[in-house]
Amino acid sequence: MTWHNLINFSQWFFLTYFFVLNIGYIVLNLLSLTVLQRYMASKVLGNLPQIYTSLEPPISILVPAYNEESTIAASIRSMMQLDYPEYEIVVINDGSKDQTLEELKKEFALELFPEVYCNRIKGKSVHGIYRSTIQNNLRVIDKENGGKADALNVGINVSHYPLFCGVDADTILQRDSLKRVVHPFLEDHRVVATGGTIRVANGCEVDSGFLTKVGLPKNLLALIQVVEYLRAFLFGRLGWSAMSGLLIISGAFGVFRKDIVIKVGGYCTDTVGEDMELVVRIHRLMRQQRKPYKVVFLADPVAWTEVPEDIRTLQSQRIRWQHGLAESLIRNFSLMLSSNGGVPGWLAFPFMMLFEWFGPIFEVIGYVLMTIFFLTGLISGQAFVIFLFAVIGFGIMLSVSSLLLEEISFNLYKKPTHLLWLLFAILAENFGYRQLNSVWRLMGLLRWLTGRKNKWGEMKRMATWQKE
Amino acid sequence: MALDVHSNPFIYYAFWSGVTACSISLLIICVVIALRIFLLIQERSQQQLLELWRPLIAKELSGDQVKFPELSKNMMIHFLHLWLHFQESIRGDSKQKLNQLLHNKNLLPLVHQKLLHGLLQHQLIAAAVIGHARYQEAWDDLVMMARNRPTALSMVSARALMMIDAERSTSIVIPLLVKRRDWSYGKLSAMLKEVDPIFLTYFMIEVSEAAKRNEPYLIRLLHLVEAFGHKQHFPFVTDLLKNSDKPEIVASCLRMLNDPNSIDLVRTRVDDKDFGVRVQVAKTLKRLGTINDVAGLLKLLQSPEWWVRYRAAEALVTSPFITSINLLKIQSELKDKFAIDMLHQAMSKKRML
Repeated sequence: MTWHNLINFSQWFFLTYFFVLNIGYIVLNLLSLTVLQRYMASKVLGNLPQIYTSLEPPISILVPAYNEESTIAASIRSMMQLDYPEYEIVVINDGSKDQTLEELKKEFALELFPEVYCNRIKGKSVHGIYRSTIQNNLRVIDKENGGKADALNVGINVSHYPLFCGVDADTILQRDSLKRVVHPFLEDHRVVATGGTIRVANGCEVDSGFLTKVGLPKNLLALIQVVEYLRAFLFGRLGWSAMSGLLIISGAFGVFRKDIVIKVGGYCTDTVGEDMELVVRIHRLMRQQRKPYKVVFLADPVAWTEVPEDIRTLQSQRIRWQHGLAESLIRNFSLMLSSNGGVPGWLAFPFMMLFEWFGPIFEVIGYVLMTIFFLTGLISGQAFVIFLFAVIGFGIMLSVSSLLLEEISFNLYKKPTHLLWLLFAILAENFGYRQLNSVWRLMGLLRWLTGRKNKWGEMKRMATWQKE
Repeated sequence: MALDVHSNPFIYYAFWSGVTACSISLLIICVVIALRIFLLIQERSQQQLLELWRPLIAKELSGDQVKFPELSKNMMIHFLHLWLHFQESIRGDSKQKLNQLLHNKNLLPLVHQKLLHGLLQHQLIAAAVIGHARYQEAWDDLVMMARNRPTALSMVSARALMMIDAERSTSIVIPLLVKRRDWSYGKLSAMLKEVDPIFLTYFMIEVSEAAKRNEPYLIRLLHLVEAFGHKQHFPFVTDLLKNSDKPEIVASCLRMLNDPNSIDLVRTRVDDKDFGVRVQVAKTLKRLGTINDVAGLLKLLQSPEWWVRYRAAEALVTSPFITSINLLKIQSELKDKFAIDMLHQAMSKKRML
């Protein structure tokens, strides 16, 4: 193969890759658009006065906590005000080195309790189980440090109810979060897990643990992540869910059927992406056993989370996410094109492998090679600029279409200035941020290859939106 | 430098891909802006309607004579939504006054048109309004929609049929309760909670017949009876407890059982091989049990399954027939470590609460 052929091949390969990737996303986008329109239409009677059906299954909210002394009490207090008929809160103190447990003891008058529970999933040893003497539905497990997944597994063992909801200690919920996210379980008995849209809390106002005013962050990195979250949730996950191929439910807020999670062995404790790994494993095992099941995603915004505002924290988060994705896919590789794989095995899994797992490799190599070709004069300046024009054009198109989905559905960013800022973020995202993100994701893959572990994702929190 | 995209096929395709993507982006931005303006106008007109009509309707409901303004066509959906809000919030005679308002304004034929030819959200609102207003003329269309339309619209149509004529709707809706598996228990139970008692009478006859014939769909009907929380005692519950060997049906009947005279039927299930049934036995004994059930509960307390032990311990500690001293005595006589721990936990919980 001559140099010329090689260059020609690379040009076409990368252009075709970006083209196929974007076509895939456009298909997801169109699917989401249809689903969302139907969903919003069917919700027109939803704001009328409703009666509780008394069928809502009780839920155990599991809150793993590690060094959360400053926020844990406020988070739990807000969870106690959720609008739901019957639920319990189980806080799992995962060997915090700070005063998390003492803070909980003081705030909620905890007493050691002789709880008998079934060790259905293996976990690190429990030092003690406490029950609040002022809040009947609050229990706190104090256990040896073992990571978030281990904390959740112990929480599942101790929980009383048939559904559990894993919630990050710093997640901001809406009063009706549980009601919304449980809805699919009432609609269809095959549902084994549900998740909802997570939104960016930076720039919003929060009072007593609840979101009171939607806003946009002033920090550019956070602003760009608002668009990223819209894209990831509104057309990524919604589109996959419409095809019954959803492979991710965010660890920040997701509801699962406890018996199914126990049956598949609980959360995997030696991965950094335990939330995705669990969902992929549920798909794999349910399909292997040919059991009917559904993993459902709700477009409704159910939880708000603070996103990183500095490069270093964002980088470490993205590296961790990619590391988790790689682990989740490789561990469940037998789902790929398996005989009873269905949409998850024949569409979602290969898509994830090709565009999410290998994606950063192709993207970084594509950008680097094209730049080298241009700098060494192997391709013309015109070819280089047009390549970037096409790639960036597609990127902008996808982000703008997620904005359209937001407009036709929840329309939370109401001010005209919000729209301008979001459009600005879409432009800014495509000039540097996306490329940087690809590099971080590549680093995540390298970390996965070298086998470095990361137990609790550390996040530098600003919480400037939080009213005391 | 002049742009020559035809010189190289790579440049040609990349260029036109980029142009297409950018053009679509611009088009979407225009749609977003247009949508914003449209929504803003909609929101404002809705707000105006609410400000004008809400106090007027409230006044009318409180008994005052009110002269209502003309309603423009583009305000109708907002008005119907407001009207529905009132209908779903109030009880008694006021509902009739609201219906009269629709009749006086001669809006029902227009609502009927919306039901047939509107967007999905307009059809849903129209079906709900027609149900509340008991508009008989839409009966056939509602029957067709309940049978053939997707979940949301079919359920609202069925509810409308039940509201218009509960007795007449039984022959249409009851078979659909069985057939339409996409109709969720949650929504159905809410519908059955508010339906005219005559519908429930027919429904319970159907359940009773299904129980006699041991129909494969019986469990769905039993779940529905459980869901709308019927407190009456039905002979089919005891019959099924006597004769059925299906754990799901037995468990459902145990949950529904509220006749203390049938307690012997519960006692025969203490040794059932299905642990889901034994959990329900413990719960039923907690509700209906007597001093004679302590032995049975102790047996359940020593079951291998955690949930059975948990429910049995709960039943024992809340039983009005057993004193704390007796509980301690029972605990000291137990040999099974798991049973002892579970009883200890239940006693501690009772002490704390």
